[in-house]
Order: sequence, then structure tokens, then C-alpha cells
Amino acid sequence: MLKRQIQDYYRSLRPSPATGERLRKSASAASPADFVAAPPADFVAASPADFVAAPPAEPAAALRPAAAQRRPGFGLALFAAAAVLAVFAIGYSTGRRGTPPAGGVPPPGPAIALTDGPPPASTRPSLEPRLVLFKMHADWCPRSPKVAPIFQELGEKFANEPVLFVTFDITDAPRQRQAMLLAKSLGILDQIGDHRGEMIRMEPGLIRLVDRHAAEIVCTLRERGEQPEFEAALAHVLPRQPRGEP
Amino acid sequence: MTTTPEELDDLVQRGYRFAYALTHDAARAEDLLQDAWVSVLSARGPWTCAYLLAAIRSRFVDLSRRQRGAPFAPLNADEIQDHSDDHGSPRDAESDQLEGEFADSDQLAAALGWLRVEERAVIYLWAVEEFTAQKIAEFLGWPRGTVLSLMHRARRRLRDWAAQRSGA
Repeated sequence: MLKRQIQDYYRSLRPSPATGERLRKSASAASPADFVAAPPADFVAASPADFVAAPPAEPAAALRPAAAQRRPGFGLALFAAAAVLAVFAIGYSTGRRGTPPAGGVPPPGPAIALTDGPPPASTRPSLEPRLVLFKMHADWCPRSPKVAPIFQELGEKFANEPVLFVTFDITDAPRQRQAMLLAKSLGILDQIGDHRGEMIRMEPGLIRLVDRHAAEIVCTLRERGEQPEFEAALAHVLPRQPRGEP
Repeated sequence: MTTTPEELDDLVQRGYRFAYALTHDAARAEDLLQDAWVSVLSARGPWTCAYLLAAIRSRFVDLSRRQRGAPFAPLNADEIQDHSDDHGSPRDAESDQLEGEFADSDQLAAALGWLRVEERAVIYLWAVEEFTAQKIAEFLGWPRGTVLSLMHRARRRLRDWAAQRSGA
């Protein structure tokens, strides 16, 4: 039978052992499970405030004026030298007024405020947003370009509100992993997709509002028609700011 | 999701056979399989046979276009017959007529090498992967009637080849 002959012929064909082994190893090394799995349990999430208060990176430092490009150690050394001189000056004046202490250790002088210190907590604005409004983007998703202008409009409309606007790019596996790490650091990993065991299914082309403190999804937008309802929900959950007296 | 070594080994074998069916050359088949494998790796799967075969076919079409134009020659209008009344895979009755005409695998290999690329692809998918005509048509993106015509023509060419050999 011809079919049987063709089957036997093709099934007798095999690639060279080296090629087969190389292909198998490459596929084993890049298992699809390693990019859609959730981040490791021992991943230490940083507070969003850490990101805001973090010192600028090197490229930003290079853009500062030359006078401001001194190393931090130089300022500290200058400050320490001034403090030592002040202590010696106080000790010298004290010694001139009285008996020098035994052992050469000057008595404690008056308290000197070396720094202004942090501002009172009441005047410091909160850097930890309760609300996170994020957009799920993927280059291959036809819905992503449609929700992008909506996300832009929301960003402009609520720019002065304590809402963090984030875009998660899930175009490919490396960016999916970055998105998950960022979501975990923001504490909204459970809200960015559907959890199915160890896997997370993330849907692109949507805008979602998440309440971090309540750990819940406030609302989700997938098309332009849902924008009024979405904005109403956002305005409803925004913390009410005390109005100042005119 | 194919992750076990046995499944990966089966995937390599089936991918290589399909690549060989398209190229009818061992070295080119390995190159084609590796290119397609890399594309599947880049896309991070899925590691299924259908996806790999589709990647091999796409890669083969790309390479052929880059080298010398369209890889699959169009059918002549007079060769396209209406087989829409046929159901399932092509009739085995005609295949049985060829029983015993190929004495060994070398003769069969030579006969398959005499076929055109699209005929070999259809023959392979029908005989080895055991696709139905409808499934072959969906996989290759051709009308079902075209697939059946290709099958008919491939069998006729194999018969002609065998007849020439026996006559010589």
C-alpha cells in the first residue's frame, strides 16, 4: 500500500543526533513556564515611596550644573570639618573661661542644630498613592491603541489627584515579567490579571483602577463608551481634599 | 504544553520529516527545522506539532521567496478538477493500485523527489500526519478542491514515474 510505504519512508528519516540534541536542549532551557509564572515568593517588594524618594540615577546627575555635581562625600567631609572646628572653638573658649578638663576632653557644649531635620509629618505630602490606574498594553493587541488616548485623557484630567498612573507592557515574555515584578512591588499583582494556580493571565487593551489599600479592582474600562462611568467611579473613590479658606 | 523529553523528541522528528518533505534534502531540512525552531523559541511556544509545522511552512515560504520566487507553483486551470463531492481523505483504492510498484525505499524516495513541493507537502500530510483533505486545506490555506486535485495529480505522477521505470 502506497500510504504505508510513504509512512515507513518518512518515519525512517531522522535528523543528525547533534542537531536533535541541540534543539531539545534549547527547548528545555526555555520552557514557557519560566515567563508566565508568578514572581518568586521570596521577592521583597519595595514601597512605591522608595521609588519616588530614590536619588536620581547617574544620567540625571550628569545633567545637573557643574557646581551641583560634587560627590556627596565631599559635602559630608566639609560639614564634618566645620563641626570639628566648631567643637574646638567652643572648647577653646570654655578653656579660656575655666579650667581645662582632665584628659583633654572638652565638656559638652551647647546643643547646635547641625541640620534643619525633616519637616513635620503634618506638612509632608503623602507619597504613597492609594489608587493605581494602570493600562495593559501589548503591541500585538488591536485594542491597545484604542484605549491609549483614553488613558492619556484620564492622566491629564486627574493629574493633580493622588492617583498613580502606570502602563504595563506585556508585549512579550521579558516585558511580561517586568510588568509582574512592578505590579508586585506596587502590591497589585492580584489585580492585574486572572490567577490560575501559578499562572497569571493578563489581558491587554484595558484600563483598570485599583484600590491598593482595599486590594480590590474598582472598575475596568475596555472601550470608549465606558469612559463616563469609569470617570464617575474614579471621582467617587478619590479621597476628599479639605478645601482651604479663600 | 510539550515539555517532556519524549514529547520534545517526537516534535523534533515530526518537524524534521515535514521539513524533509518540503525540501527533499537532509541538510536543507535541518536548516529549515532549526530556523523554525528558533522562531518558536522566540515566540516562547507553544510547543505543539501544529505550531511547529506551521512555522516550518512559513519559514520555507519565506526562504523560497527570497531565493527564487513563489515556492508553490499555481495549479493549471485544466488540472483543477472539482472534487467537492469527495469526503474525508482521498480514496485509498487508487493508492492500492500502486502496491508493489516501489520495490524499496530508494525507489520511493526518487519518486517523491520527482514530485513538486506542493504535491510532496500534501502527500506527506495525508500519509504520515494522517490529515484529512479538509485539515490539509486549512493548514495550507488552500481550497479543499485544490488539495484533492494535488493529491490526484501527485498519485498520477507517481504512477507515471513507476511506469517509466518498469518500461525502462
